[in-house]
Parts: sequence; C-alpha cells; structure tokens
Amino acid sequence: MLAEEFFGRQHAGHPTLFYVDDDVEQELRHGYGMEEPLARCVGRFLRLGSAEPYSALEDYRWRRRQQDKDGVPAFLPLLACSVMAASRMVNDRNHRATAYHARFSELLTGDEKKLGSHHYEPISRMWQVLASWQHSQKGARGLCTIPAPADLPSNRSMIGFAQSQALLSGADRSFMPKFFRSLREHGTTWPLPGETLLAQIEIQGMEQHFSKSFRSALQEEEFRPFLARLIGNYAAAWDGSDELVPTGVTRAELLVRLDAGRLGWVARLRATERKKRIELEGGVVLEQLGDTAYYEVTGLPAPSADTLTGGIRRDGDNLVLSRPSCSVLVLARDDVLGVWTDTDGFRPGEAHVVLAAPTAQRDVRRLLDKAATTGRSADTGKLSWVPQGWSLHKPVTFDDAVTLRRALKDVQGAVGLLQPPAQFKLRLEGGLKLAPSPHSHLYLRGGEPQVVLPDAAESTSTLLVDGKERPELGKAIAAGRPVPLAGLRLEPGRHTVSFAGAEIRFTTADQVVVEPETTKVCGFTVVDGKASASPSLLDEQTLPTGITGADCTSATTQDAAVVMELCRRDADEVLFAAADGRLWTLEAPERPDWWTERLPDTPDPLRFEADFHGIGGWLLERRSGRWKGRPVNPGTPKPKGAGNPRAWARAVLNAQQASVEPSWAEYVQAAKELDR
Amino acid sequence: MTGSMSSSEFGGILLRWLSESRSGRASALRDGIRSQARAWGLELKEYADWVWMRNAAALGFIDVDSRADRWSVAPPVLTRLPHADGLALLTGARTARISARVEEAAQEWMELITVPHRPEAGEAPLPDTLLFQYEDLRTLQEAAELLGVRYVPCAALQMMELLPQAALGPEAAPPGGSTANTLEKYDLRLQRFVPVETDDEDGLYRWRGADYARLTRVRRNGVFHAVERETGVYLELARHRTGAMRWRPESGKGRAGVGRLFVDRYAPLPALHERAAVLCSGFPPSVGKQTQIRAYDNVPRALAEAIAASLQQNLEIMPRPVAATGGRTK
Repeated sequence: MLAEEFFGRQHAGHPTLFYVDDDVEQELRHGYGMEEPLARCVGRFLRLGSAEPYSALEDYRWRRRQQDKDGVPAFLPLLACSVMAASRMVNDRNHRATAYHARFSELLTGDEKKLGSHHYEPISRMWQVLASWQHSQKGARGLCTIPAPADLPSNRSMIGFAQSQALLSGADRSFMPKFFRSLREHGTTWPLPGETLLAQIEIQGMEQHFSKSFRSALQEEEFRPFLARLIGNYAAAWDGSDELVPTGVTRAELLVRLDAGRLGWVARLRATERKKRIELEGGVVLEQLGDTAYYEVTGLPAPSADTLTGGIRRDGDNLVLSRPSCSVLVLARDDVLGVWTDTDGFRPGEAHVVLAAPTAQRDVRRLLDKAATTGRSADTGKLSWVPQGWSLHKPVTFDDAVTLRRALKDVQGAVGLLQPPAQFKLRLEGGLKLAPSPHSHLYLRGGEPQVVLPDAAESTSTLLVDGKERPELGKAIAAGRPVPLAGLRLEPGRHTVSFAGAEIRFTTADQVVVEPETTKVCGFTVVDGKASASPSLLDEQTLPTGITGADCTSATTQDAAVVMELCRRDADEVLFAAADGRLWTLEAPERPDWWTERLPDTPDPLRFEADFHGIGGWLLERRSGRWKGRPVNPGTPKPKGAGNPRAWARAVLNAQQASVEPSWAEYVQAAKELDR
Repeated sequence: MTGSMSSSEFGGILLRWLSESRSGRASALRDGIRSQARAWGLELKEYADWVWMRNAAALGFIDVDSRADRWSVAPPVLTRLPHADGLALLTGARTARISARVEEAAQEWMELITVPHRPEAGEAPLPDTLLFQYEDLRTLQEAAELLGVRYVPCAALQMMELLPQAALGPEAAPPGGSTANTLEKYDLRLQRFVPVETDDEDGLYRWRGADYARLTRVRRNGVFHAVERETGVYLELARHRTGAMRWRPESGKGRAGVGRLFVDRYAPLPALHERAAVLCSGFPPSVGKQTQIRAYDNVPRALAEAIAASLQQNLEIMPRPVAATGGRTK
C-alpha cells in the first residue's frame, strides 16, 4: 500500500516525498479500510529489550527480497513511522522540538524511553537502502529526494533522512503550482534555482501559505539548502499545470531525442500495462515502439526554442503526457533506442550532448569550464537541428565526479539540478561476468568489476581489497569514479572489498565451471553455393552447411585440381618434373611485403609456396649436393609428349637418389629409356 | 591508470570471456567492451565498441546477428593464409582449455608467432593474432588435430567461392507511419546519409521501423527493396558508376599475384567479403588517417577481383610500387 502510494509508477520522472504525518496515516488507513494504526502494527514486530529491536523487520525484508529483487524494500511501514515522528517534532508540544528519539519511541512503543538513539542506526541504513533502490530504478519510481549522507548535518546524520521527508506537507505541495505560476507570470526564466525560489517566498511574504515544518526548515541553516534543492526539483519537474504531480493518472514523460539529424519527441511510459496506441487531446497520438516503454509521438510541433522553454502537457484518458519547461537540455545515449535522448542528470564517464537556451548559456559555460573533461568549447558549426539561439556542446564528458558535484553546487540556475544520481551503498558495477547465473558474482579473471563507493565517503575511510589497501586505486577514489579492480591482477578465487564498514564479496575464475549449452549460433546460411548477405541465427537445418567464423568447410568442396607445396628457400635448386615431360626450375619469390609491417620481428620465411594447377609430377630439391623428392599427383610418366624430353631425362637421372618410392622408380626408368 | 597492463591483454581477456560464455546478447557484448575499457583507463571513441565487434567478426572470432541482438563464438579453426609461405592462422574460440593447449604446443613443437594488435587512438584493442609457421601441409592438418581445433584448408580462398552477389532484396514497404520523420537518404557526394523530407527519387534510404529498428532500403523505379546497409551503398555506387576499390600487387619478385586491397572507408565491405579479405593475413585492415581508406594485406588478385565483381565494382589495378623483375614461379 505504502509502496504503491509513494513509490508507484505514477511518480515516474517526478520528485517523490515519503511524507507521512498523523493525518496522512489516518487518511490512508481509512482509504484502504484498515483498523489498526500503522505504528501499533509495526510495534508488534519489535524485539524490545534486545540489542537489535528491528531484526524481525530486517529478516522479513530479506525474505521478501529473495522473491522480488526489484521490488520496493519491504520496510516502508517502519520508515513511515520514522517520518511521522519527525513530523511530530514541530506539530506537538509535549517534547522539546528537537527531541526526535523520544517521539519515535513513544510512537512505536507507547514509552518514550524504550527506543533510544543507540538503536537507530539500522533505520538510517534502511533509508539509504531505500534511496539506493529508488536510484536504481532510474526515475521509474519517482526521483529520489532522500539526501545523500554527505549532505546531512553531522548532528543529524541518522535522523536527517526521516526529517528530510517531513519538510513539505501535502498542502505545501499543492500550493506549489500556484506559487510557481505567480512567478512565471512575471516572465521570469524557468526553472529557477531553489535558493531563488525560497528567497521569493520570503520577499513576497508567502510563508504563511506553507506548513509549520516548512517554515521552521526555512529558518534553519542546516535544512535550508535541502529545502532549496527539493523545491528547485519540483520547479524543474513542473509541467505548468495545476498539479505538481498528477495524481490518480498515469504519466508519460515526453523526452527529446536526437536521431537521423533532427530533434524529435519520444514518450516514455513506465506503467506495467501498455497500450499499442494512445490518443490524447489536441490530436496527439502515441504509438508504441516495438515492445519497449517508448512511444513515437505525432501531432506535436517539433522541439524548438519555443516548445522547449514553454513546457508541454496533453491530457488523455487516464493518462497525461507532460514535459516541464527547460532551458538546458542534456542528451545521453539511450541503450534501448540506440539514439540520444534527454536525461535527468549528468552521468560521469559518459558522453553527453548539452544544449542551452540563451538564459542558461553562461551557467553551462561556467560548469563545463570547471568540471568537464571534454566538450568545454561550444560547437559553432551551424547544425540545422540546434534550436534557434541555443548553444551546443558535444561530446561533454566528466571524468571526475567529485569535481562535477562540487561545480554543480556552485552553479546557479537550472544547470545545478543536473546532479548525477547519488550513491548510497557500496556496490559492484560492470566487469565480465561468467555463466551460469547472471546474478552471481562470478567474474572472469582480468575482467573484475568496478567498485562504486557510497557518497557518504568520509575521507578517513579506506578501501580495502582482500584486507589490504591498494595505493594504485587512489586516483580513481579521489576522482569519485568507480574504482576498477581489473588492474590489480588478483589471483582467481574469492575476494572481499570493504569500505566504511560495508563489505562485498565476489569470485573470479579463469574459465567457466559448467560449460554453457550453445543454444543460439549465429552465422551465414549457404543456399545453392552462395552465402547470405549477413549473419543470422542458424537453426538445425542451416547450421550444418552454414559458415561460422573461419569455418566454411561444410559449405565448400575442396578444389582437388590445385595443390600447394612448400619448397625450401635454402635449397640450391628446386625443379619440378611433370609427368608429361615438361620441366620447370622454381625460383624462390621475395618475402611477402606485408611481413615488414605486420611481422617486424619475424625472420624471413624458410619456405616458399608453389601452386600446381591440374598438373602432376615430382618436386625435386637439391641441398648440399643431395636431392630429395616429393610426389605431386605423379601419375604415370609419359615424358615423350611435350617439352624438352632430353633435359627432363637428364634432370630426373641427376636426381635419381631423391626417393625410394616406386613412383619415382617409374620416373627414373622413363628417363633411362629416353636417355638411351 | 593501470599502465602495467598491456593492450594485448585487453583483447585476449575479452575473447576469453566470449569463448567461455559461448553466446549472448550483442548489446551485452558492447557493454562488456566499454566497461572493460573504463576499467583499463582506455578512452574509446564513439562506436569503438561497434568497431571491435565488427573486427572480431571479420577475424573469425565471433559471428554477430545485430538484428536479433545476438552473438556467438565461432569454432576454433586452424587455416592456411594464401600465398604466405607457410603461415596458418589460429582463430575462433580461445577458451582457457584451448589457450593452454596452444601454449603447451608452442613450448614443445609448434612455431607460434604472436602478434599483438596495434589499435588506432580511441580503438579498443583486439586479441593477438596467432600465426603458426608450418613446414608441410600435412603437418598442418595433424597440428589442428593435436590442438583440438578444426582444420580449414584456406578459409579466405574457400569463402571466395561463396561470396553473395550484391543484389536488390525482396520488395519492401515504403517509409511511412509515425516514424516517417526519421527518413534519411544516402548522399553519394557527402558519402553519408542526410535527412530528407520525401522519398520521391530513386536511391538508398534508411529510416526507423515500428520498433525503432533501423531499416535500410533501396528505391528502384519507385519500388522499395530490402537491403543490407553495406550492400546498399555498393548498389548506389554501381548505379552512379563510382569506384571504391583498388588493388596493388606486391613489389617483390614472384609476388605479383598477391597484393593490397584498398577500400574507401565510406563503403565498408559486407560482412563475409570483409572476412574473406581479413583472413588473407589474419589482421584487420589498416586505416589510413588522412586517406580515409582501409587496406587489406596479402589479398590474391583473384580474390580481390571476386570481391569487386560480386559488389558490382570495377577493380582498379594500381601499378606495382617498384619496377619488378622476374615472372611467376612456373
């Protein structure tokens, strides 16, 4: 229920706040027809008096995870209670405003002393797991608003997560579009950065429209930056309509795509059920692209300076297609479509195309100057697809994630919202995994994964690989990049990576343990002696005669008429005595030209090739006065027919010791007869 | 950052991974290439992952069906290089077991030449080229048996017989529907596809189909035909009588029948043609930076002519670099 309400797919692409106070809790309970209050329900699963009061809930989460690896972590009820406690901090007068743990304990146990701050650590960990899960869904379950540990004030490093979610009540959020609209009516560029929005609230004296928690957070130096970011994110995701986030309807995101030399639209619908064709008001039609989450959009004017800065919304039957107005467009490679589409934030290490409206160009330039590895200078080539007046930078890459984050914080305006996704936990990324299971942590030696460190990263923590610090990884760690283990030359076997109290294990091997069955073989089919124009999956019929790699033996018949023999280059003389009486002296060709370039260290070849097309005889080599012979389809010698029989006979007789084979004896006999 | 690792290991590890895994998704293979490049601190150019896949397929390591998004590793093969004075190429799968056998053989009886790939800047390194210097054809076949690999007498020359002719494919639907705005036409002068509004002239077109997969089609007399992109470009070149292929015999005495095949970069060879040309030397084509040309080494004139003829090209024969003396060996 909580998962569907707060992290359902209706939130795709929008900031989500896990806001639960007593009123929300009651409303939800009635809505779903439940009797027992949430806190009492959760309280029954606590192991009070033990060192780990939440262990039953954690065990439950692990069991659920076994069944559904992708689902919302199953401890939302407990986290909801932690937010309720935070919301009570300003809303009741029984405790000091700052007393969180007493309220939390009272809520769950009825006694304000049973659960203390020393018990709270598992809950702050759960928050990070939730955030990490939400990031891993890449926006499909809403944009995460849970702060990164590094962004929390030190005295709230544990309770800050819950507090962050209690800052904006439902009433605050529904007031937001009115506030945003009042600002836009003044023709301000949009979206505005959060700090500017907060300042506007104060200048215009609009605080009284907001909840108590909002007002107190506004006053608190420690929470103000977080509040600014939150409200800034809402402004950036706002599509100009009366609702901040459309409720009760499915939302399709309208994305910009760059393909085939033009900017166009593509819609992304992350609902579980998708229709092939969806009609919206104003003649806009969405048609599904294959079985992807993407839809081709027709009926909208193409992306341009006007349509991009204006924001778009089209309603349909239980679905809205919307796009907030934007002044900076960041495109990255989309793996599904294989084209550039716009993205919510920069991804360190990847290439981006950055387009900026005139109002945002200065900020973009400043950011790129500070942090970009490539793409700092604007592309001045007049490309027809760039919106009028907009600047273009490509390819923009950021190798140093730490510098990028710092620069984004310093930059004002919409650019500052392009933060890369925060990292909450230690995890492995990439690497060359070996079968059998794609989920197991078995990698090929030399293809070890990269380690992604959590942003929390206190500078005092060190990364240990198999218990040892590895100084060669320092550079990547300092740059906030995923740390590659492939260069460490780890021995095959089990390995452990640990950092700031967390630990991950993986295994490496030189080969697979169980050989995978070859199920799908690609290759060229061959029909009537000709191969197909391109490879395809071969089936039982086509595989036996198909071409796979260099293997084309089953598709061809060997040409028996051509015989190749290797002759010694150090021979004093190489002759070929044909059965029909012709005689050739074979001269060694020069060494192949391409060896000089491709095989520089290879000594000259010891042999050379001689091809015999439809002719038989004996190949004779003389070295240090001794003859050696080899038959090449020798047949029966009939030397009188052609050539110079006398020379032939002399050559054969000179070399009569060349072989003891009966065929050679026939040749020698024929030569003797000629010589007589 | 991991300077201690040589680039030849990079390609070897990827090939080991493919060989052990046997088959998979082509997109996963490209992810693997990029991920491995990041781990090794290699900066890849855009599409370097595609280039690696294409080259690995041409070298006979893997086969790729891009449309089905699948790859599979090719059987291990020992095959003679044509007119190479006793060199054979060891290609296809290189599992741990095969590599161990090759290593052992190289220590005991096999004359093995290992040549690391020399990647261009921004390219992902390919596996080492393994060449076996043999003394007698009969030993080659025995060697294949000892190594547990397939013996293919001469893949390059055998493929020559099988090359498909460039031809229009079956009739296909014209562009239309919701993806009509992705239409592009091949511009022979610019040597690339450019966006166009309509398809009212004959030529080579491409657009996105209903599943957003790219479709390449030739329009002839108003009718659209399915075609592979590479073949489509050659049909377009033929229609305008434009040459993109040259061959130059080697300069050495007695080597006039073998030479270098030059192909303009904008007109890449279709997959099997490319493989036949690459299996002449066991090396991917060298790419001239300014000249925009791919050069294939050790290509017999007969093969160059067969490749050209099957692609409706007139092979331009360039003069030998140095005035050559002597004739053929027999």
